[in-house]
Amino acid sequence: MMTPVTPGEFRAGDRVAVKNLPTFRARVVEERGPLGPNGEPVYLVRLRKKPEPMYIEVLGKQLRRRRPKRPATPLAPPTPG
Amino acid sequence: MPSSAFQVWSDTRLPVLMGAERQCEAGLAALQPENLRAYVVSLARHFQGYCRDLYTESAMVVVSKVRGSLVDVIQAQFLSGRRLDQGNPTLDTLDVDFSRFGFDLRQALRDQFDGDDTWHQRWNLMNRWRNAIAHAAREPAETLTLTTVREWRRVVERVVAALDAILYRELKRLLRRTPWQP
Repeated sequence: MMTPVTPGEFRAGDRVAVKNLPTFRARVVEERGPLGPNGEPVYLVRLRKKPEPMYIEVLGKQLRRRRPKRPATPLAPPTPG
Repeated sequence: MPSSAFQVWSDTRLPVLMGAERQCEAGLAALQPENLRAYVVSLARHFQGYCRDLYTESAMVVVSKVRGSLVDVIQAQFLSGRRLDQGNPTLDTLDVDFSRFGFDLRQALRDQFDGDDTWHQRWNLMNRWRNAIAHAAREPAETLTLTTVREWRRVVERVVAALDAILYRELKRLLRRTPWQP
């Protein structure tokens, strides 16, 4: 049995952007549970930044989803010559 | 009027700990030393989890009163260098982290326990045992028994309830409104 988490819109691993910090690429690291005002779900998010990433805990409404990476296009097989 | 962090403690964390306690009571006698060690680590883990939850919930309440464009900046500040993310849930760790809400946690806890200092000694001993177990280091001289760990669990329960009451009072004073709804 583990701490139940109120399901929110995002899951750990989701690629997101924090609305007021649009220059950072971010990823949800942990669903922290219903710890926001009126039980809103809170997320721990890692912002990609050099030299070290930055972490921030935000409400779901502060996040927007980024499009998933497109899978790499496989190389065309060499044509027999 | 408990916080969400306290509700998670009561509904989920505490039943897990009580299950571990029953396992220590009912398990094979030969395994009891290992069961007790697992129980100590679990007790420290859930206490630390509760403290992190309460800190996050309190920060979110404060941030909800801040102008929109500043919200993310303040949230980042609350998380920056949070000791509870790295260190044990000692009184020093909690005191440093919760001081960001503008009050003296150490004194507030002393007031809650009304001069009785045994809670602090037991809390310290639990953390020393937790570290010794987790790092396979030399264990404290005191013998680890189920009675001892049960006392630590009761102290942790009292500290959890006290922290909830203290944060409720201090945030209400700071924000001039109740911090969380029932």
